[in-house]
Amino acid sequence: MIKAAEKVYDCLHRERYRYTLDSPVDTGLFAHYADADAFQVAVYDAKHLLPQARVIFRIEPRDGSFLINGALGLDYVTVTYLRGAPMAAARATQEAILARLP
Amino acid sequence: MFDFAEFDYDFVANRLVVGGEPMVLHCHHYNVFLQRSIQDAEYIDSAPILVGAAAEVAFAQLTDLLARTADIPARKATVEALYRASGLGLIDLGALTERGGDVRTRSTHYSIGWKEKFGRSRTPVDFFSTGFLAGALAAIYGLPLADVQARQTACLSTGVTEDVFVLGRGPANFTIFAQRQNPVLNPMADDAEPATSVDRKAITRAVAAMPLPVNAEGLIAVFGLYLTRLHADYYNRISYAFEREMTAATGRQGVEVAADLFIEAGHVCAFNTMGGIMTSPDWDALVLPMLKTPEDWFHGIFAWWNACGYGVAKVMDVSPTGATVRIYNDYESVGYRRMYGAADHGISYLVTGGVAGVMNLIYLGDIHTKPALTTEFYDRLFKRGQAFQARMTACQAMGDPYTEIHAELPEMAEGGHRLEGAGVSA
Repeated sequence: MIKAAEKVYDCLHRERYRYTLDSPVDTGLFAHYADADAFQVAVYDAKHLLPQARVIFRIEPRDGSFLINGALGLDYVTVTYLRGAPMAAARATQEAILARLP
Repeated sequence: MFDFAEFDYDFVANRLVVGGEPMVLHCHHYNVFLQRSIQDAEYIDSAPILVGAAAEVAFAQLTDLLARTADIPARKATVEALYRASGLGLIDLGALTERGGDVRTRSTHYSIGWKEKFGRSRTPVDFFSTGFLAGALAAIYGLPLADVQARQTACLSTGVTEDVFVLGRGPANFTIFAQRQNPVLNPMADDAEPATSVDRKAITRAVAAMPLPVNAEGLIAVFGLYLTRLHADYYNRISYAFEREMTAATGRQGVEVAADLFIEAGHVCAFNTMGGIMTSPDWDALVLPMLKTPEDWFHGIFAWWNACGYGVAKVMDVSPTGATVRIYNDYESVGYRRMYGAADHGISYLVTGGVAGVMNLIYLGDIHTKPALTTEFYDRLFKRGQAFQARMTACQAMGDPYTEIHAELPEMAEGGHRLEGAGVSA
């Protein structure tokens, strides 16, 4: 569930939102972006160097219309949308996915 | 293809050397601000400097990288891949011949970044790509750099749909600089840094290994900005060649003018890049779990800074009223000495502005609350006269064993005089 959606400043030609969630993000989020032809999911795990570190991830569709940044265990993600005609639809879709998370 | 991950980061000197060229990370705010600062001095003919500096480093680097590749299409592919991996955008060199040719692209960092930061330009702004392509043409075909010409005839920043670069043969239409000397790195002392719960070395290693994603446009959009991994000596050359021309035109005042401009560029770098990092999920995931105090934040961000190729920064002291950062082999000093020998004044401008900028973000800007990094916030934080100011108390380019920057609030400075500007050796 989305607890709060805050529009945050972005200096590029994009709109960025920080979504605070009811629960910390887990790998269940990735299931919504499992289609490798449509999405690129990249993770970076530095626990071998920083034991307290969380696994960072970024999710981007092949068309580049949005970008999700976050880390497993954090209670928020940021989603950056490209401005333009498809932005409203991309935002609605991503917010629906986040709203369905536990 | 090309992947920076194939080149080892030197964790002793905190440098990444690729094809003989040290590479550093900077964002589009810094890149275009620095360029515009140089261009704004209209009585200096800056275009040949800006193009020539890029041509110099690209030619040197590509000559090295392409030495074992004889095939021309393979050479072109390497250049295109390096350009993209650097976050510079997309180029297609397919139409290029030994005589030159046109390069057209819908995505370049400088053109897009300029428009994002400053709005439309009246004239083309991508001097870096112009010089890079000149150096590439020469390196791909084994030509003397002095026999290559390059100009940009169309630019995305002006509102058109593509950048056009025209390459040809003939006497270079940009500055050909004197050969640089081999870099000399100073040994590091075992300086005692204050105790902190922040594992600085681990942060540096983790960040240096973190992939920088390049998008479909060949841009690295991270931390809310466009990042590049460019040649340290590009920044050094444009800065110090400009400073020398200013000094030739106006005398010693030229140093003061250049110092003010380049330290301000350091503020812009700190505010946007370091501020963007400290408000990112990446920071929250990697570093935040170790941070308890504002001083920890300072240690954390300089540990991150050490992964950017800038040299080895050691935080000697930090408190709410000031900080001292010692840097061994800061890229500005190393580059200056390669180009011009020993300096007679402090030249580590980026890090001077950077230290003050980070202090402002942490102690005056409450960066832990994730403020919006707007122009208005920048002006409020840096231009009200109450901001931290920094000075060089030592500079490696002058022969000191390291560069050292001290930042403090204006009221802390003896006599209340303005601190920033070209420093003197300790």
